[in-house]
Amino acid sequence: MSAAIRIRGLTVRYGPLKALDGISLAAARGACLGIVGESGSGKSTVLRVLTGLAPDWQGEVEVGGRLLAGARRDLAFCRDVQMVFQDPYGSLHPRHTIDAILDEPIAIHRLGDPARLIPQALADVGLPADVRFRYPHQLSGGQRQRVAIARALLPEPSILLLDEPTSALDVSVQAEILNLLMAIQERRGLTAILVSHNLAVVAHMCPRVLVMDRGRIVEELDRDALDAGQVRSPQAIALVAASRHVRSQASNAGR
Amino acid sequence: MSALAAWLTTATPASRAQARAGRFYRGTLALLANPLAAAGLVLVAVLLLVALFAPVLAPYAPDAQDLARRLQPPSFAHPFGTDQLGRDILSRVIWGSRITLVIVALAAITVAPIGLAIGIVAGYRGGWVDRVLMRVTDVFMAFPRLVLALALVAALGPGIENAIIAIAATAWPPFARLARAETLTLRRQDFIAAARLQGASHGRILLRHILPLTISTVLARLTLDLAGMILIAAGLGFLGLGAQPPSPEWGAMVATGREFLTDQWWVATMPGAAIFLVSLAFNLIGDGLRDVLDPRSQGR
Amino acid sequence: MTTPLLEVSGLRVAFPGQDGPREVVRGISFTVGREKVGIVGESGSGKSMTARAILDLIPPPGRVSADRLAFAGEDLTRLRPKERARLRGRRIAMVLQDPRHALNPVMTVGAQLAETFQVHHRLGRGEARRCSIEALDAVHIRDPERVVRLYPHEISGGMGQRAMIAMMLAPGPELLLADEPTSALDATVEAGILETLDELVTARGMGLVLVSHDLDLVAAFCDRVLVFYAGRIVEELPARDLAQARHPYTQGLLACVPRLGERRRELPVLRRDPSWAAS
Repeated sequence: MSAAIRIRGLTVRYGPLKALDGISLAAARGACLGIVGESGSGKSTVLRVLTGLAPDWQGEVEVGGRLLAGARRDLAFCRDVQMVFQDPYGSLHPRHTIDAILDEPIAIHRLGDPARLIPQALADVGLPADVRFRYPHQLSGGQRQRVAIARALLPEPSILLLDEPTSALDVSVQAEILNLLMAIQERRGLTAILVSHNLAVVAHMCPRVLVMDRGRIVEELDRDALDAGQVRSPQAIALVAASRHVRSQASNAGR
Repeated sequence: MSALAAWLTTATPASRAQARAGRFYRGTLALLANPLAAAGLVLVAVLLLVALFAPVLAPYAPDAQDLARRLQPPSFAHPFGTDQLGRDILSRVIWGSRITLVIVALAAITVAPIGLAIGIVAGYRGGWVDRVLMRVTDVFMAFPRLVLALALVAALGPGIENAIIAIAATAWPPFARLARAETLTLRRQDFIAAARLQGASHGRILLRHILPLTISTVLARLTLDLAGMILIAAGLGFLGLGAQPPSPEWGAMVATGREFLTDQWWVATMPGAAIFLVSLAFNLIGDGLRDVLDPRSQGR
Repeated sequence: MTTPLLEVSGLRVAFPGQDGPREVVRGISFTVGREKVGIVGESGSGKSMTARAILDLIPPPGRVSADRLAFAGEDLTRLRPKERARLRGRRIAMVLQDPRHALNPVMTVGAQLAETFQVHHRLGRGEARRCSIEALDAVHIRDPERVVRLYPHEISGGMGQRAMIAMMLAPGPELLLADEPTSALDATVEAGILETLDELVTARGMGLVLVSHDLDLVAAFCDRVLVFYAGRIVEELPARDLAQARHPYTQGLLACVPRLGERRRELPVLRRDPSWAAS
């Protein structure tokens, strides 16, 4: 299968600090790639380079067979690659109604009739039609994240970047959003990159997981290896331990 | 009425227009709930009505001279008294409200867009654009406003139009600073990044995403500053550099009344009181607007 | 039977809303002894407000009422605000989510700690400094002599939270309230902080109330768990019996978390029953 995203030797410097230190990765078309790591590991920086939010980088980044340069992304790129942010409170304009928020991609990419597309987009992410003219602060966190997902899906991208899409949400809402994301990814055959600090969340959605630490990829895991606990790098061992720590104690106590 | 209120305050508006009307309604209610701001609104409304119906309200023509009845104290026939040429001061104050409103309106619609445009472009683009624009702003801010306005009017020649130009040219820097500071904090927000990832152009981001959020603080500041602009206009008029006689501009009226202040106090006091009341009214609205429009104060 | 450290009965917290007051805590009763009690719930369940109400830290215009709110047998509702403030910090301490907001950014960690010792134990400056270093050592900060000279922005989030715990424990409180003490931290740091907290609380025989959204975490760490939903306690059970939780809300919360080694195509979604919120 061909790679939708291919990165070779990507380095990003913030002053003397290397946020990314020559990483290489490939994301297969139609599959979900997970990137897991702790804060400061550089996992979000990968997405920022892809989307042009981090202007200064060296290396080779190829998306859909085209090499990227600098921070400029043309309209065709924006239509093909969309992103969902961590904090649904921050990623929606506070003074725009849901209608205005969803109208943005329609107007920018001239997608068609908003009166038809917006109700459809809301229905696609399981939102009732009456949220259309409300403001983000009138919605719950889960509903806001659904709006953000609807906005990302409107241009019908082939690549979806997910930056900690559930870590600001309650666990019951996280389950709903993860189910929604998985269903959409499968149904539309999207290429997805999911970045998270939570190994269990990443492993739930992604068959292939990269573990990052201090700007480097320290281990690549597939789901079988994870399930069997076959991890080698100390960072991966620590992440597995952290997500099992609590769980095992709880189940030990139950015995 | 209650059906209309329900339509306006519903949590599930059915159209864009209804959502917008509802927000406006809620803002107006909040503004009216503040007694001082409501008082300011009433005063400005009175000013508007007076200006609109000046020909009907004024008992005499503003420039009708009656040298036999010059410098009359306030009486039933002349409630504000008469000036040195026997003109009715009440009628002149009423007609003068038009001049004041024109000055305020023209200054506001020139100052706010200039300040906003410079501020948000500087804040959004950053780098050398920001440095150049802000240093220019600093240069303008380094002069005392009235002195700069005086210099401009002296260069352009006295007159009401030039006074407005001078006021606009000296009043924009604080607005640019304010808009830039707001933009700097907005620029790093996720929703701006999200707009960029949607493919929005810089112009679209500035106009549709950043402008709506900066405009409210600038608007509040503008109403506060309008009082200052009225005073500068009056000051220029007082110094003979604004509206020219026989135009009934309030500042110019105070200036002529100054000669008679000891014996005929009403000549200067009546237009002075009008200046004071209108400045106060705009200040009160400005304070109220700031509270209503500031998203941080909402929900408290 | 000895008096429990904390008795809460019929606690209510209300905020004025557009259509009359809105209760965020609706009649909550529980007691805490010298043990670790976990309060679990989702956002808006009233868990943080309960902790704040105990410390009298509800921001205006919120209103607190309770049938009984007592600390070590002393009725808190009868105390004057000044006496209540003295109790807070000295005998009841609170650790907040993000230490970076709670530490003073222009004072070194050591200076802030030493101040606490000087105020609460009336120690001299040298003595206070020695105590601060010992306190940092007790929360397992490596090289405490160096850390006392650092400013809050120069230390990591985990170290900041350790310093915060050291500061809160300095006056020797009997009860510690921890509101999401580790949710701003990485998972691998989290475990270490909780271990340290456990060690100190056990060694000093203190009571601890841990407020968290993370059911697994609370279950692993605490003796007893109170499950909050919509301002009420829907279930109270020993942490080790969590797997046998009866309430559908608790069961739903446990089931909807993705776990390593479990392959599920779809995560079970919590179906909220309106009757849970009713009494």
